[in-house]
Amino acid sequence: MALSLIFKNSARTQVLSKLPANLLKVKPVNTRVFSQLLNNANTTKGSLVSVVSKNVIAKRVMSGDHSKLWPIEKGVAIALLGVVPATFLMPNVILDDVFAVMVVMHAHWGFEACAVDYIRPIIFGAAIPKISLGIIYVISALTLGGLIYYNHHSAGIGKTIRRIWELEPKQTAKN
Amino acid sequence: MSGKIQLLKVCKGTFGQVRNFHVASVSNGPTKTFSIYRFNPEEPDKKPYMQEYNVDLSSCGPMVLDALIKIKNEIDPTLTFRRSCREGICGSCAMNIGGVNTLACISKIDAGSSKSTKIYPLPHMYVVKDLVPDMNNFYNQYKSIEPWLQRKDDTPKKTGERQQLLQSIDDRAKLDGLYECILCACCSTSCPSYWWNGDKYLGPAVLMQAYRWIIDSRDESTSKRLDKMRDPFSAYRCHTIMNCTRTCPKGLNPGRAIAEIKKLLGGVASKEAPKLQTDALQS
Repeated sequence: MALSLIFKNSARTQVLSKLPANLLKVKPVNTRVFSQLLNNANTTKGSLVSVVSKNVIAKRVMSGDHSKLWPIEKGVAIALLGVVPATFLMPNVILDDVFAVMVVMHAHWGFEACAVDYIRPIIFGAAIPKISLGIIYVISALTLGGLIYYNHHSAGIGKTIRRIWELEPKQTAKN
Repeated sequence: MSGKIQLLKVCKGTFGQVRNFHVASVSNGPTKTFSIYRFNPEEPDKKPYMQEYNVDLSSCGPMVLDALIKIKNEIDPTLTFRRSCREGICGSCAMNIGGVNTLACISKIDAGSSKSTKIYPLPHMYVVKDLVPDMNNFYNQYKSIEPWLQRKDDTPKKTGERQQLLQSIDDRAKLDGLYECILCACCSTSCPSYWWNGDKYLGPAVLMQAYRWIIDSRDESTSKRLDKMRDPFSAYRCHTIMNCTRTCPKGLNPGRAIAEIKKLLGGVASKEAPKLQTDALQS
């Protein structure tokens, strides 16, 4: 018992001897460059999580209802598993248009999620995230317009893909 | 007797010194290098750096936490980390060990490798000191989901005495794999979505606890709980990356819980009615 006490204390004395001198001094900490949340812990508390008060449903500072869009997103993703091969197997204008709309929607939601995740106001400010989202909408709209135009005024998506994968392209056979 | 005690008091330091001298000279056993993230808020202008410590494994416990405690006791008392239960039930010692978020107390020292083991605080959290992250945001988010049983009628019944609520065995089984969470934040801090949008996305740990209360057959504010998460950020920033499930030191599956929340939110699934009338003893 006494021995264990001694050993216990020995560790303690050793610790004390190795303490750097400045640790024993209590300095007031003014600035914390690498630890910012501590400084404004009170302000972030209010903005990050809305205060939960009795019998009041706390609404966060966020808009929109994503729960209706989510089943549609997943539905489109699952439907694409059938639509993509069907378009290649039996190319026609209707399937080509369905293919164009669904693929563009699917890609658009993906890019939108990327923009929302990575181009954040906390880093880029208020304007750039909105502009980038706008650019994604423009690109998606142009793509969709182009694809539908191609379906109605040219070969169409299904036939084009088939042509790429043909073993003996018809054009070279003619030549 | 008093003479002996006097002698002990005098020799207290000496014994320790002798012992330490021997320990230091004898330790030729296997050693392990730990490279540990250091940041001291008292020196705010100094950038965080990695400090290496050599630990003699022959006089050290098997877990990383044992090594950390040994370093703090014997090498560098300024090393700061959280720890409490040392058996993986409190979640205090969550940190990034060798690139994986886990609990120091239940992750073994990799004695086979000669390379150093790198230990960082939980990723993308504000660091208070060394391995201690600021958990305020995480706890506030947990608070925001109101993690307690809510009944529509909370008034005491039956001569003022509160009776227990009934729950069938099947209903209780739904809570398995959810209630075991110790809120160590390993999963949330391994989630890229939580890194980028931790201010608005609740993160896997908190969402799994939200689901734990949503599917509890005794809880009556299911719709209220769900309505708070319909926005694009609270739950829908989850992109099924599944880092959470992969890293969970308790072997739980937060990814699945979030998927169930999404199903409930989207109307694809709905909460079953309780198999036992929960307030049968109340009236």
